[in-house]
Amino acid sequence: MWNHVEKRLAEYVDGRLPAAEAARVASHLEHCARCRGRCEAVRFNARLLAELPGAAAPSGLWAAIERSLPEPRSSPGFMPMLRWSAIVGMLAVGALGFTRTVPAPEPAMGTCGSPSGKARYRCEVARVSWPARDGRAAVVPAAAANVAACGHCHRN
Amino acid sequence: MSTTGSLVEQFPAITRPGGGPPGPARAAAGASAGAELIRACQAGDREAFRELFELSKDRVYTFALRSTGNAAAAEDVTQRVFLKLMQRLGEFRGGSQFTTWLYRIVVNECVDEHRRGRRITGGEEDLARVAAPGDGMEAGILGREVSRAVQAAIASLPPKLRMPLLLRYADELSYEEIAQVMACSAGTVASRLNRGHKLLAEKLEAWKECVR
Repeated sequence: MWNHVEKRLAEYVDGRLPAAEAARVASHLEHCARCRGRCEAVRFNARLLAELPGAAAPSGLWAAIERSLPEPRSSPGFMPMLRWSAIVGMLAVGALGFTRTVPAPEPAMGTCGSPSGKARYRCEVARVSWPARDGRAAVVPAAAANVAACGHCHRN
Repeated sequence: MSTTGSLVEQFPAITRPGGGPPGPARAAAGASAGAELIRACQAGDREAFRELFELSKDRVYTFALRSTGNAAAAEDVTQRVFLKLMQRLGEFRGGSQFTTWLYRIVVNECVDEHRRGRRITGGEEDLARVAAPGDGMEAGILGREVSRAVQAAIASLPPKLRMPLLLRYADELSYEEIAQVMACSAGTVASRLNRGHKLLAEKLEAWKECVR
C-alpha cells in the first residue's frame, strides 16, 4: 500500500501510464503528501518549461554558414562521375606501383620441351608458365633467348 | 510557442508546440512537401537547403540557447548543426522522422559544446535573451525574472537530464521520439525525466509562490 510513486510521476503527469497503474498512482497521491508535493512539482516544472518563450536566430547566420559550405555542384551527374574517375585513376596508379615494387619470381626449375620430357635444365628465366596444347610445357617467350644457355634446349 | 510557424506546413511532426495538432490532410500535405524539400537538398540544391535553414533555424537556435544558456555558444552550435546537416543529409533515408533526426544532431552538438566546458550558462544578457521574446513571437505568460530563473536552472542540469526535459516540455516530443534522439529506451527517458524534475524542482523551489 505504502509504496511511493515518485518514479512514475513523469509518466503519470504525461498521461502515459496504463489505466490500472494510473489509478494506483492517483490513489497513492490521495494519501501521501510527499508524493503529492512531488507530483505538483512535476506539473509546475512542465508548465514553466512549456511556457519558455522562443528566440529568433541571429540575422547573419546564413551568410556565415554559406561561407563554410562546399561549392555547389555544377550539374547533378558531374560530381559522381568525377569522383569515380578519381577512384579509377588512383587504383590504376596503385596497381602500377604494385607491379613495380613486387619482386620478380625466382627462376624455377622447369621441364624443357624435349620429346622425352625428362631433361631438366636451369636456364635462368625459362620458367614454365603454361602448358602447351600438346601437353608439353611452354617456356616464357621473353626467356627464349636464354634457352641458348641450356645445353639440352640449345641442342634441340 | 510558435517560433517557426511555417514549419507546421513543412514538418508537422515537430511543430505542434503552440500550433496544435495539424489536421490529417494538412499533415499529409506538409509531410509530402517536407519530403520533397529534403530530396531537393539531398540532390545538392542550395536554394532548397536555404529554405530548410529558414524553416528550422529558429527552432534549432532556441533549443541551443536554452541548452547552453549562452548566445554565442548557441550561434556556434546552430552553425555547426547546419554544416553537419549539409554533410549528412545524404545519409537520411526517411526511416525516422526528419525532425527527430535533426534533433539528434542538435542535441549532440549541444552535448559537445558542454564537453568543451566553455560558455555554458551565460551571463545576465544571455539569459535575458532567452527570456525575452523576439520580434513576432508570443510574449508568453511568464515574467522575465521567472523565465531567467528557469533558464538558469535548466542550464545547470547535467545534459542527460536537461535534454529530455527540454525535448519533452519545451519542444513537445513524445517519449519515443526523445528515445530516438537520445539513442536510449523510452523507459530510460522516463527515468531521466523523473530525476530531472526532482533536481529542477529543488532549484525552482523559491519561485513556486511567485508563479500561480
